[in-house]
Amino acid sequence: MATGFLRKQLALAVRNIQWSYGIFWFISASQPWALEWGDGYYNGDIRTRKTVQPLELKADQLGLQRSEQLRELYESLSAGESSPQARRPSAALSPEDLTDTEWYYLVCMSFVFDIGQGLPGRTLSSGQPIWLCNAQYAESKVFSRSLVAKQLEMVSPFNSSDEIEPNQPAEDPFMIDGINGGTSQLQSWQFMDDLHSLNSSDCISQTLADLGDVPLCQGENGNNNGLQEVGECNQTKQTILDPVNGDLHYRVILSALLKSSHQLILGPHFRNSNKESNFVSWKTNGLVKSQKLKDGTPQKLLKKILFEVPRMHDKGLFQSPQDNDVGDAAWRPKADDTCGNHVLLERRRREKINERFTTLKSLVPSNSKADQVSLLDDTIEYLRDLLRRIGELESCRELTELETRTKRTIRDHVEQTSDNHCNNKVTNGKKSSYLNKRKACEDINCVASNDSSTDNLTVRMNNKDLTIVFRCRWRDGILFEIMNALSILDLDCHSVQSSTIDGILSMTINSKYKGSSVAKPRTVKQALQRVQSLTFV
Amino acid sequence: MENSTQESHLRSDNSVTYESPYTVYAMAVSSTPSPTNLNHQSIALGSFLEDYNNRVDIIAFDPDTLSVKTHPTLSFYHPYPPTKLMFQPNRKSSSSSSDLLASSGEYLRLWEVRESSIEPLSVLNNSKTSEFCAPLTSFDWNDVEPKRIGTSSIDTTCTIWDIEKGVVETQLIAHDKEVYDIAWGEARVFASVSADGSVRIFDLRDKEHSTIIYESPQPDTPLLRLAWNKQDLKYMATIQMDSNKVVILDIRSPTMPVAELERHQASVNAITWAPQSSKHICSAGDDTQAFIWELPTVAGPNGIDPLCVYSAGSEINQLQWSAAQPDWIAIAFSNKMQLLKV
Repeated sequence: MATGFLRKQLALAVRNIQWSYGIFWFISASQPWALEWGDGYYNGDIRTRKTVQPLELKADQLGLQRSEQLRELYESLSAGESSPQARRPSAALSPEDLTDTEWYYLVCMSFVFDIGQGLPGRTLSSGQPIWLCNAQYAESKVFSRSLVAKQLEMVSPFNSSDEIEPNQPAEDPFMIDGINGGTSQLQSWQFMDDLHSLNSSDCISQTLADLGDVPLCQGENGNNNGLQEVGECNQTKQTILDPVNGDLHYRVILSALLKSSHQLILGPHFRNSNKESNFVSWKTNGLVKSQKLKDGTPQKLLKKILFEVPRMHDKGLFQSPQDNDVGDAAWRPKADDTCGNHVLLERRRREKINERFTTLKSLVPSNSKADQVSLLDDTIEYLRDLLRRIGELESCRELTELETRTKRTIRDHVEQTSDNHCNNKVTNGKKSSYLNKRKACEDINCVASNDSSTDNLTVRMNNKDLTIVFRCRWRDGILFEIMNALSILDLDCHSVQSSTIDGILSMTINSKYKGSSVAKPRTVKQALQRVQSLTFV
Repeated sequence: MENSTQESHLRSDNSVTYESPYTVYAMAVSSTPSPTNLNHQSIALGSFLEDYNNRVDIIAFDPDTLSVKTHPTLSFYHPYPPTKLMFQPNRKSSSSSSDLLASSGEYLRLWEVRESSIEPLSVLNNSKTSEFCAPLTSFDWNDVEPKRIGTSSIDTTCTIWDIEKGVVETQLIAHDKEVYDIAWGEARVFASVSADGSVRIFDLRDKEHSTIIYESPQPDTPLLRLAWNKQDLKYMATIQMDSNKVVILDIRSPTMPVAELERHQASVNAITWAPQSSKHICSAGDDTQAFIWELPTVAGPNGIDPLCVYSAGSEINQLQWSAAQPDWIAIAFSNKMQLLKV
């Protein structure tokens, strides 16, 4: 397709008559007997110029470049949905750079006309040029893009299907000109000096974008007012285009194009520049004081609808799925939240932990600090405290027991010596219970000084206190003889503990020296050993 | 200082108010022009009376003259308040001169709205015995596949109906507790919210599995309403019981909401996405305010502020933003229905 050549020809023609744009409609390759966008040249207003290099280009080259950029923009927008991540090159146009005229030109790229439909179609079928004056006032029936035009506030367009190059060879994809019975159509928009200000509220319900609230009035583009003269207005009544469908097409196209664009073109529309809106712009802190609910229940009506109304039916006689045999017929999808599974598990774990912390808080006399670390510290302290107290209490208890035991022992001992025989068994029984505590008693009475001990006889001395511990074989009357022996030594035995098990007598004697002379432990030992048949074990 | 927002509903040059004889809850805006007059839009209003006899009225809204007309015969009785009303979406205007309206109560009912009368078409009842039924809390009409309606019920199930044949396509036990709302995403994908506090997505091609994409932070706090963004199917919005927050979810990142819109001063009653823009959502609540929010790509440090606000006379219970009239938002509060220009 000789695109470049065609475009240049178009460009030449359009610029020569100073029209804003020209469009070539090709016979579509995909749809037989339908006309679609072939090529175009845009010569109208430009808002933002984007070039890669700041070269000084000639006017014609600028125009060509612009047309190319517009075409690229259209293609990228319409392909935008399939590849949303594709970035346009920085020098490419983006939607907000375009003027309304350019938008019209862009949207035209999407139009397809059947034979006989729309201006290009009718021109093709009739084989005659069509002039349409004041096209913005034309009904959609005649000029299907009038809604588009209106919306973009185009004014006073001229349409003509006209010749460009009469001698162009007829190539298959497109037809030119009256000569070949085909059609080429040039359309142009013309800005008049006296602009009709169009109501932007026209067709507002049908359209998506209110792209400009400022009427275009750059009328000084070298417009040629001379072309107001009217050619034939050929209002051929061909197929009446459903205005709704034409409008729908526009809507669909714009929404498709704009959807892929990240710029919120609709933003200005919502930013309440439209004074007719009932909504007021949001101001931070400008909010009305909250109005107290008359009734205390939030979401009252919504809750009634959801909770109470279903139960009004049949006074709540509704079936559970199982009763209704739904269980067999219905599917029970397994909730598949593998994405959130670990999150949920983690959350449950945290909840359990929090629960335990609450329990702990109630047990531990902690301070009012709510955080978990303080609570744990207090718990540790409390535990240590408690352990210490337990230790103290246990030792106190042993002491008390020991004292009780000692007193009893003395009493028993006295009984025993007075009535040795009879009480032996009895006392044995009593005394055997003390055997368990013997070790503790020994510990308590331990005084570390002047020790002299053998395996079965221990004599300890501390100043005037003497402790004798030994074990020996028991026989009748041995206890009396031991006490005798000790009394010779001038010892005051103030505490005696003895027990007999399996014929072995164990004795612990605490004594004090009566007089000033202090006997050595060895002396005590010898004295004991002199007791007749005292066999230490 | 007296703010104009307080009495903005009196700016009656643009808003249109209809006062109904009874409290209004269910509301639907037709997707096609009224059969009587192509410029008019039909709006169905369901009453809320704690009584057996409730009514549904159809009124015609004319955006050009900013007026609302009632028609005495375009009205029918409904047993107990209808929990939801909806017109068939994307109904081809050329198909017939009538419109289809669905209502949910103890069953799903279909009605044909003609020029001057309403004919009951069918009652869709899935229970095997005549005594029991599972009352419906909500339903949604699939706009890609218009013969498909999904209903949600307090018996924890969601039922998918083929309304052309009048049979059940399938029934799913969707949640552990009552299901409160349902919304279609694509032709075969829907989502539902429940008293168990979860938002779950179901695909009819794989009925064995569902995906939980959000659970309310306090366990077992019911989620009452759900709205799926038809312009951008990644996003959903939901509201929790007794909460003033609108939770925006992205289905690609489950359990973590994308945004929480917290500017209402009382609990939110209704949410609806803009029909023509993927970034706008409207919410209304007990604080008598309706906010329009624009979701930015990056949220500011203090959260997201609404774009604009409207104050009604009392708590707003219902909100509808129709694709057929994208410049108008319909709200219902106490016994009034109001159409607001955006």
